[in-house]
Amino acid sequence: MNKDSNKYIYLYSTALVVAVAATLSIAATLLKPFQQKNIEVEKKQSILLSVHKAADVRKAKNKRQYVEAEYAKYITDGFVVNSLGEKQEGSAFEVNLEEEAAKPAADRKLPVFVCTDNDGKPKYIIPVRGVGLWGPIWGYVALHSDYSTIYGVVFDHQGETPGLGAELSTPDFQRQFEGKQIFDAASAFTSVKVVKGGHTQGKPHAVDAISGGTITSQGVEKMLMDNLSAYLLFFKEQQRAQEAERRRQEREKKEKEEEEERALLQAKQAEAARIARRAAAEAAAALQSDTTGAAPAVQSENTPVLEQPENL
Amino acid sequence: MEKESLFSAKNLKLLTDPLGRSNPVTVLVLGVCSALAVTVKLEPAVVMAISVTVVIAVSSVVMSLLRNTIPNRIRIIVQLVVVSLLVILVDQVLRAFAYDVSKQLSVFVGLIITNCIVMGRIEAFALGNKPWPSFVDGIGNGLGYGLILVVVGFVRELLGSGTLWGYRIIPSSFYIANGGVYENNGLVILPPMALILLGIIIWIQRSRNKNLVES
Amino acid sequence: MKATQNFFDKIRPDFEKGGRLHFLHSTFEAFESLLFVPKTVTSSGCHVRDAIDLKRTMTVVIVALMPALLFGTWNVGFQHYLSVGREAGFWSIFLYGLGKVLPMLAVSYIVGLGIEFASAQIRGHEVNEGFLVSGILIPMVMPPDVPLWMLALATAFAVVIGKEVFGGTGMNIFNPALLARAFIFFSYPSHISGDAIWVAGLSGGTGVVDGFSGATPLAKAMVGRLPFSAMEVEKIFWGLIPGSIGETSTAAILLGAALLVFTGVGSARIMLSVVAGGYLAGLLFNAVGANAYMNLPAYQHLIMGGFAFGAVFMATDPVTAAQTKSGKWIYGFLIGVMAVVIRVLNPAYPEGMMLAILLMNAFAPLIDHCVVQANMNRRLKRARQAAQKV
Repeated sequence: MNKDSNKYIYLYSTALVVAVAATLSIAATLLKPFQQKNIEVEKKQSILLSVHKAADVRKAKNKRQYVEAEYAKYITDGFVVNSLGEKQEGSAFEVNLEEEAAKPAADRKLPVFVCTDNDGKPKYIIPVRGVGLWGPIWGYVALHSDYSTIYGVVFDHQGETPGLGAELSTPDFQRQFEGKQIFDAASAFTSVKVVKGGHTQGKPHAVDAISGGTITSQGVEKMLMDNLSAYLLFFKEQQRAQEAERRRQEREKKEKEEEEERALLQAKQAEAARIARRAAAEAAAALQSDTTGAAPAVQSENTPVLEQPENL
Repeated sequence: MEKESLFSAKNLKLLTDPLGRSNPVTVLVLGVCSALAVTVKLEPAVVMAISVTVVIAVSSVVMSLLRNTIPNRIRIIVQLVVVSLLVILVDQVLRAFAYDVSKQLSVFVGLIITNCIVMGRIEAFALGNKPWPSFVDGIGNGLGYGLILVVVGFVRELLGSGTLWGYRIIPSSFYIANGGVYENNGLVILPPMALILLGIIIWIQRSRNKNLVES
Repeated sequence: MKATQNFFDKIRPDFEKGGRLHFLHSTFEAFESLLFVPKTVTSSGCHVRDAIDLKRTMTVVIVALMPALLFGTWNVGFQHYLSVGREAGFWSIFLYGLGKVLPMLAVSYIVGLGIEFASAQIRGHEVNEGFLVSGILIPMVMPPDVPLWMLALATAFAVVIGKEVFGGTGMNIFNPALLARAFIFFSYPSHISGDAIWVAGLSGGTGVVDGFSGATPLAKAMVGRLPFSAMEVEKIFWGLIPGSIGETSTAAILLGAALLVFTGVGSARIMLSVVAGGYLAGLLFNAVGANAYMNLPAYQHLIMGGFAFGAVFMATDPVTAAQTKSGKWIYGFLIGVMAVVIRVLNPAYPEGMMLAILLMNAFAPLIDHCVVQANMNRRLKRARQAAQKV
C-alpha cells in the first residue's frame, strides 16, 4: 500500500491510537491499587506524626508495613461530624479536605481521628488546612481528651521559603504547641495565637512566630482559628458530655460513700443494741440468781460500758 | 550490506560522544528546563535521569522499528504519540513504586515529552538508523543528560541542604542554629542559581575544549 | 611626590617585558596609575587632555560616600548601646561601630580586589579599577551583623558572576553591590530579613533591654504599625534608626548627592527622576488608600529604607544605568515607581529598592535603544519632509 495515501494514513493512525490506548488502560488499571496505597500510607503517616508515633519511619525496612502497623495499633476510630457537632455517617479517612473547603460551612464534613495511646487515654486528631505566603499549608492537630490541651501538631507546606516560612514543618516549631490550650479557663475558645516577638513560654494560648516568616506565621494562626472553630459545637458538646459524666460519677461516688457511712452507723447501732440486750438479759438472770448468792463482782466485769448512740 | 557488530567502535562512539563532546545539555543546550527543576536534591535528579534515558532509548527503538511504515505527513504526530505513551507509563510506574520521589518530581515527569532531547534524537538519528544503533544513541544521550543532572544535583544538594541523597554530610553542629557558623545556601535551591551553575559547567567545558567555542 | 615618582621609576624595569616580575605587571600598573596620571601619549590627531579618568571619578564617589559611611559607623554603635540600655560616650560608640564596619570593608576589598587582580593576571589585561567603589558600597548595604564569610561569598559572586563573566568593568549589566546584597537576600534570608539583624548584637539576644524592638521603619510599615509620629519621622530623616550601615541617614546621603551633582559625576537627572517616581507612586497609593501602608504620606517613602541611598549611589552607576538623557529620566522614574509598588503591595519583600534597580538595570539597554530609535525615526521624518518641500 502506498505509504502516503489517505487510506493508509487513516488505517495507520487508527491502529496506533488503539494500540496506545489499550496499553495505557491496562497499565493504569494494574498500577492503580499501588498508587492508591501510597497516597493512603502518606496520609496515615502524617496523622501518626501528630501524635508522635511512626517517627522512625526512615529506619523501617518496609515503610508501608511499618506505617500500616502503627496506624492499626494506635488509631482506633475515625468519625465525621457536621458543623452542629452531630456525628454523621462516614469514615474520617475518606473525607477530602479540599472538596469540603469548597462547600458552604453548614454542609461540610468534619473528620475526627481517635488515637488510643499506650496509656489508654484517647487523643483526638483534627486535620487543618490553610494558606501560607506562597501556597497552601496543612497539617494535623492532636488534642488531649479534654478537647482543649494540644498533644502534638504536624504541619506541611508546598512552597514556603526554606529557612523562613518552611520552618513550620520543623520539629522545633511544632514542639511549641504541645501543652498549649485552645479553650481558656472560662471555657471560651481562644485557639492558639502565633505571636511575633516571642516570650510565649508559659502562656497557654500562644506560640512564637517564625523569625522572618511573618506571613506564614499569620497563615498558621488563621488556619488553626478557622479550622478548629468549625468544630466548636462538637468540642463544646463533648466537653459538656464529659463534664456531665464527671459530675454523675462524682455524685455516684458521694452517694456510695454516704451509704457506706449509713451502713456503718447502722451496724454500730445494731451492735450497741445487741450489747444492751445482752446486758439486760444478764441483769435479769443476775436478779434471779441473787437469791441464790452468786458473786456480784463477776457481773460487773462482764458489763460493758454502754455508749449512747449519737443522735442521727 | 556489512553487518555492524553490536559493540563496534562506531556504536561505542554513539555512547561516549554525548557524554562530553556533544553533550545534549551543555553543547546542544537541549533539555535545560528539567535540568534546573529536578536537581534540587540528588535522588530526584538520578530518578529523572533514568526516566529520561528510558524514554529516549525505548522511543528511539520503537521509532526506528516503525521508521519505514510511518507516513511522512503525520511523522511528528506519531512521534508525539509514542513518546507520550512512554512518558505516561513512566509517570504511573513511579507513582506506584517510588511515591516520595514522584512527589518531588511532580509535573516534570509528565514534561519529559517537552524535553527537546527526546524528539531531537528521534528526528536526527532514530528515523534514519537501525534499531540497535538508535537504542545505543538514545542511551548515550540519556547518560549525557544524566551526567549533567548528577553534577548539578550534587552541588545543589550539598550546598543547599548539607546532605547527599538524604544523608547528612555537613554535621548539624556546624550550623548557626546549633552554635556553629555555617548556614545552608538558600539560593542554590532556586532555579536561577541552577542555570548559573550550568553556565559555569559550560564555561569550564569550553575552556578545556576550544573546539566548542564558536568563532 | 618626587620621591615616590623616583621609586616607581626605579622599579619599573622589573615589571616590563623581559623583567623578572613581568607577570605581575598588571598589579604594578594598577598602583602606579592610582597615584599618577598615565604616561601614555597620543601620536596622531588632536585630543583633549582631561585630568579626570575612571580612577578620579571613583575617588569623588568615595568622598561623597564618606558622610553616609561615617554616620552609619556611629549609628551601628548607637543602636547597639540603645538595645542594651547602656550609656556610652561618643568615641566608645564610634569605636564599637568601627569594630563592626572595618572588618566588613576589609573582607569586601580583599576578596573583590583579589579576584579582580587574579583575573587580570590570568588574562594579561590591566586591572580594572571598577571595584574601588563597589568595595565600599557592598558593606554599606549590609546589616551590621552579617557573618563575614557570607559577605566574602557574596562579594565573590558579585565580582565573578556579576562582572568578570560579562567582560569586566564597564561591561556588566547589573549593579555589583546590589548583586551581592541580592545573593545574600536569597541565599541566607534569615540574615537579611526579620527584626533581629539590623542592630548589632541583637540576634545574640543577651542583655537586650525589654521592649526594645530592632524593627526598621519598613518592617513597622509592613505590619501596619502606622502612622509614624512627627518625632519618629525626624529620627528616620536623620538616620537614628536600625538599618543597613549606609542607608539610614537621608541627611548624610543628601550631602553626598550634593557633591556628586556639583562635580557632574552623578547624574542629577537619575536622582531627580527616581525621587519623582517614588513620590508619585506614593501619591497614587494615597489615592487608593486601601490599608495603612497605602496611606503613608508619600514623602516618607523617600526617607525610609534604602530609597535615598539607592537613588543617589546605586541608580546613578554610569555603567548599569541608561546612557541617553531621555533614557535616564525614564529609567529613574520607573525605578522610583517600582520600588514603592514592591514595598506596598508585595508581602514578601519589605524593601523594594534593590529589586527595582536590578530590574531596571536589565531594561536600561532597551530604554536606550528605544530612545535612539525614536530619535532616528524623528530625524528620518524631518528629512523626508524637508525632501518633499524641495
